[in-house]
Amino acid sequence: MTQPIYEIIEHELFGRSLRRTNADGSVSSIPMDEANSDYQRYLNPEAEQSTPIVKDEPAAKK
Amino acid sequence: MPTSTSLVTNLPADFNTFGQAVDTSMAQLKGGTTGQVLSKTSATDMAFTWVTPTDQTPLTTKGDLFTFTTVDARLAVGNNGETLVADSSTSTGLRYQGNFAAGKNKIINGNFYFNQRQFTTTTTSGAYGFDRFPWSGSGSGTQSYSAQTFTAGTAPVAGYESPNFARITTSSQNATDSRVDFDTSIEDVRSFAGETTTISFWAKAASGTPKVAVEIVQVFGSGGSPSAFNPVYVAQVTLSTSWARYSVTTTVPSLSGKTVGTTTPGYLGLNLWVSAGSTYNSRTGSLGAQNNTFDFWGVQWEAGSVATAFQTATGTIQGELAACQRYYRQIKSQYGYIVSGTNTNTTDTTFALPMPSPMRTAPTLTVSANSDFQVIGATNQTITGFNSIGGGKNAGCVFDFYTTVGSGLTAGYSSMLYPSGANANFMLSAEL
Repeated sequence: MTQPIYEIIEHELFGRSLRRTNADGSVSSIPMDEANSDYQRYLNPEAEQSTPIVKDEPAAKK
Repeated sequence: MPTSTSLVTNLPADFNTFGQAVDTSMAQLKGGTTGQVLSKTSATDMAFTWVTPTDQTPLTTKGDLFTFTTVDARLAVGNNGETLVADSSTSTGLRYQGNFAAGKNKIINGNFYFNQRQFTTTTTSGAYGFDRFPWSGSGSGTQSYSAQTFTAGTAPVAGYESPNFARITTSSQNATDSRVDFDTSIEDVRSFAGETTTISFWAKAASGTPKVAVEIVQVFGSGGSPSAFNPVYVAQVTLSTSWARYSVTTTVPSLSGKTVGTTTPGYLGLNLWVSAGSTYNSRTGSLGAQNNTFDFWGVQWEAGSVATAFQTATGTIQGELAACQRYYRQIKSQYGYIVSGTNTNTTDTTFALPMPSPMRTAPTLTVSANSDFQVIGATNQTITGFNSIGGGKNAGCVFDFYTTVGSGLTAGYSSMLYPSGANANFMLSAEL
């Protein structure tokens, strides 16, 4: 499976957010908010933070 | 008959006279038969007769209730989880019926009514299908999660027609590392903590008698130093090829000695395992790898030790959709603009999307593809990037985001976010 690609986006007015390009071609913008599960998965991709675990999708940071 | 002042001259004769008088007076007490009781025949002293009682208890079985029609009557105990209601149309004025109260089922969209993602099938582990129901399909083997529709009249519960059910298909499963489970969760790890609960669902298999292992998981959230993930194996149930309801009762572990996250309170998860290599023996009761097709419907998790009648979490269609949209919502508009915004410079436009109800947390914004959208103002510009700013989690709030195009915008001017075609999909996710 193609791994998602992460990219941190900075904006002078709006601060930082996390962009994730998904395996199906869709694109996500993830708020860097600890309560957001996608951000948690980015921070700790091996943990079973959410049901289900996604073992085969480790985060690739660039 | 001698009196109290009579001179006793012949005691045996007097006693004989007395005895005969008593015998005559009490004559009506004679006779009768086993089980009969004395009944007064008039107000006159000693006016009795023996009668067979008509008011014997009608109760025969454990749980029977003593009721009344025109005579004493028995009301047989209802089925597990049913409640007693008044009903003037019945002979006793009472009737047992299923408990259809809303709010008892903590599982949202347990009847799979909502499929906001409009998914048909997926092989992507971790993907959500029906609202609030993701799955996991990892390790060796082939597996999929698909949406199925009931033919009218074939839903497993009489009187509760439902449009959809979920199907998990497995093949070539590996005895060591395969993992396939169908999942859902209840927000906040405090849910049901320390409480006796019952998990129920309908299921069937395509062939044979495979098993489903029921597991609950406590996830303690984020922020601070939350306790570690706590999976608890509950039980296995054995399916057949016909729809049947299965239930297991378990006490959710107490939170004593645990620490809940300070930012989010985690969740209580439910995993229905259909295939599990030996890696997962402790979590599944050594379920093992299974190749089959598993169908599920009507998932319920409630307090108490019996499975009561199925009901959705909110009891209404609109309530259930609102509950689902706390975690996910999407906008698909082929022809109309989605929201208007303001250009902040020649490349960026900010938008404030009104939210009909708050989401669990600031959501992840996902678009089908950047090129599926345009910013339309004085000119049409294809979007090269969507970026979340935040918001969306408080009552009455808006979700803020901005888009980026190559160039050509005028700062301070208004622009509209416009879909470029039928594939354009704008999704917000605040799933657990």
